[in-house]
Formats: sequence, C-alpha cells, structure tokens
Amino acid sequence: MHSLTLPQVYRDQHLNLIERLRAGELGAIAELYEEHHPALCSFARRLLADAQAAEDLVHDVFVVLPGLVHKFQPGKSMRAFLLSIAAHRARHHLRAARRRRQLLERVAREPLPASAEHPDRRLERERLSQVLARALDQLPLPQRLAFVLCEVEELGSREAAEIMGVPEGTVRTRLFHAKKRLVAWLAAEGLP
Amino acid sequence: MSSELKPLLDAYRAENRGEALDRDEIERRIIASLSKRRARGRRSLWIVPMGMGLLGSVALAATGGAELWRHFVGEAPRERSTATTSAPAGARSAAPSPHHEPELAQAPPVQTPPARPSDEAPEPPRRQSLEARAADEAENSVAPASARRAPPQRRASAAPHEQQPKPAHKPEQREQNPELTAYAAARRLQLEEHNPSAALRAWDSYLERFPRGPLSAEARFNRIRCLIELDQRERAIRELQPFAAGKFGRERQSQALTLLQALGELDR
Repeated sequence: MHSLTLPQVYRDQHLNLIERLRAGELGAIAELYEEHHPALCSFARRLLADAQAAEDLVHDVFVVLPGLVHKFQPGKSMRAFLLSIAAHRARHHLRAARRRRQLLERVAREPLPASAEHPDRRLERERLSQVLARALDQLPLPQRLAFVLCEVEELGSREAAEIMGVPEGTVRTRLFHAKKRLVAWLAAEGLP
Repeated sequence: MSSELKPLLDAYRAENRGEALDRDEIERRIIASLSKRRARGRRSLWIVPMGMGLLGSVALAATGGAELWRHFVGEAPRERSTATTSAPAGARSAAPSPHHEPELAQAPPVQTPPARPSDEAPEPPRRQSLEARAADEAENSVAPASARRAPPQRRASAAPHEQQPKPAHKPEQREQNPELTAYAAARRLQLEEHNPSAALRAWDSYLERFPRGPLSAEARFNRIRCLIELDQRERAIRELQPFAAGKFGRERQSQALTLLQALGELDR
C-alpha cells in the first residue's frame, strides 16, 4: 500500500497553493512571499533603483496576486509570474522613484549608511550606481525592463521574454536599443 | 559596448540589492492590506444590497408605488376616506384590480371639500423630501465610507515615498498591529527558525490573545503542523477534526483530510 510521508503531504499542500491563493487565503500569500521575496525584492530594487518604491512595488504585487492568480499557467514558473506582475505594475512606482531621485539631487543627498568599507571606494561605487540609475531614467519602461532583466539580473532572454510577455526577439531588440541609448547618454553627459 | 557599462553595472548591482529592503515590514503591510480588503468585501456584501433596497423603496414611493402598495395591503379605503388627493386618483383608476372599482366610484363624493387638496398639497413634497433625505443619507453613508477607506490604502502605498524618516514610522505601525506582529513572530519561529516547540508556544499565546482575529484559522492550522513536527499526533489528529469537518473552508478541509490520511498511514 502506498504510504504518504510528511514531506509528501507538504508537497501536496504546495500544489494546492494556487487554489488557496485564488481564495485569497492569507497563509498562502505568506508562504509564497516567504519563497519568492528575495527574487522579487532584488528585481524591484534594481528596476526602480529606489528602496521605498521597491518596497511599495513588492507590496502591490502580493496584494493584487489573489485577483490575478487565475492567469497563472500550471507548470510555468511562479517566480516568472510574480516578476511579470511586478513588471506590469512598475510604471507608477518608477515615476515615484524618478521624482524622488530628482528631488534628492536638487535638495540634498541621502545620508550614506555606515559601512566598514573604505569611504572613498564606497563613495565611488555609490556615484557610479547613481550615474547608471539616472541613465536608466532616460529609457522608456520596456527598454529599461529588458536591460534590468538581462544585464542587471542576468536572466536569459527566454525568461525575460516570459516575464515581459513578448517574444524573445523583441527582448533582444529592446536590449540592443537600451544599451545604445545608455552609451549615447553617458557620452553626451561626459560620464562616468 | 558592455565594457563601458560594466563598472556602472557592478556598482549598480552592489548598491541595489534586494536584501536591503525591509522584508518583515513589507510582509506586515501585505497582510494588513489584504485583511483590510477582506473586511471591506464582507461589509459590502450587506451594505450594497441594503443601499439598493433603500434606493429602490425610495424610487417606488416617488412613482406612486406606495399608494399601489397600500391598495394591495388594504389600507387604501382608510387613506381615501381621510385624505385623498385628486392627483393619484387617475393612477388608481388605471389600477387593474376590479375589487377596488366600486370604492373608486364611491370616492368622488368624499372629495367635496375643495380646501383639502390645497391643504394637503404640501404633504407629498414633505414626504418626498424626507425620502430624498433618507436617500441622501443612504448615499452619504456609503460615499464617505468609501472615501474614508480610500485614503488609508493610498497612504499605505504612496505616503512612504514622500515622507522621509522611514524608521520613525515602523515602531508606530508595529504598535498599531500587535496581532500581525504576534502572527509574524510565531510564523518566523516555525518556518525560518524551524523551532516547533517555541512556535507552538507562540501560536498558543497568539490564539489566546486573538482567538477571533482574521488570521486565527491560519494560526490554528500552523499550530497543528507544529504538533505534528513535535510528534504529538493524537493531539494533532484531534485538532484537525474541525478543519476536516469543513469548519474553516473547503481548502483547509482538503488539507486537513490529507494530513489525517497521512497521519493514519504513518501510525500503521
């Protein structure tokens, strides 16, 4: 007779996760958050280059998830599904992040977190990061998404295409134009 | 081309790491938003039909439905003998009820005092205005509530962008949500620290403090998982019974049945 073990039971429960998500069960959302928050936080942070906007985006993804989970196709990657929700909801948060960056540039600089690293190296890294963040602000969202997914997050064009909901060829074209624009903008600004 | 961007990319990656985000804070916000949404959904389940019923009754009354209703209920003769206006008479004569026809035929002699219609003319508008006020109140009772509800949601997502000292908000939020804090602490003990005995104690104290909280069913189920991990199968089986009986929804029922089946198999 086939006997079940506890790990098997938990696996069965995981399969049931989608149903529980559909019902808007908080525990199911918490489980999914537990599993996928590192990937989602990293993507949101790198897409928006702003911690607060990234936190808001991650929050939004999980709040709208029960209403969108019917679009999830069994057998596909849940991580890619969550990232695609984030990608589609990023526009508003990107605007907020851009505004915040511009404001900080105009008014004052954000205080640097205390670090054991040598201050000069730390400052230089931060400067370079901010240069790229500003350069990314010049790109339209689809190109920015392609660049962040393929170059920053180092995903393959296939996975990026799945997340963006476009063909692989489109991702490659967007990536090509994104890089071209970034290099042109950096040259025009005399950076880095 | 990539070589020009490489140092920028390295710096960007290092500066924008996902771990830098406050994952507990995000989780707390997600749970709070979803709980709020659920509560709102539950409220709208009875507020919407109630409001619609009220509006419907107002509309019915405004179109003379109240008079029709009185006909059917049998109040019509009383109404007519005391204060019948000439205006609804036409409408009444158009009513298809043959039983009322003789009464209508007898009605005109009662209408003899000519002062009455003018005396009572203000009455319908008064009634209407009361009903309109009732309708307004009904609308207001829905509108401001939704208006009141909207800002906190916006505040939850938008305010943190604008307002700077982020750490200052966190202790307040934690104080405001002791239930969520207790839930998150118990969950962390169970799922992250893999300490089922400490988690069991945390779930017990959570359930003691919030026996009817929005997360109490989840807490109960997680508590049973702790019992299983601590090899307290009999207790687990006993406490799974209400879940298996469907007291906490269909999903939980099927999970409880699977667990019960597995526990039975393991015992053999």
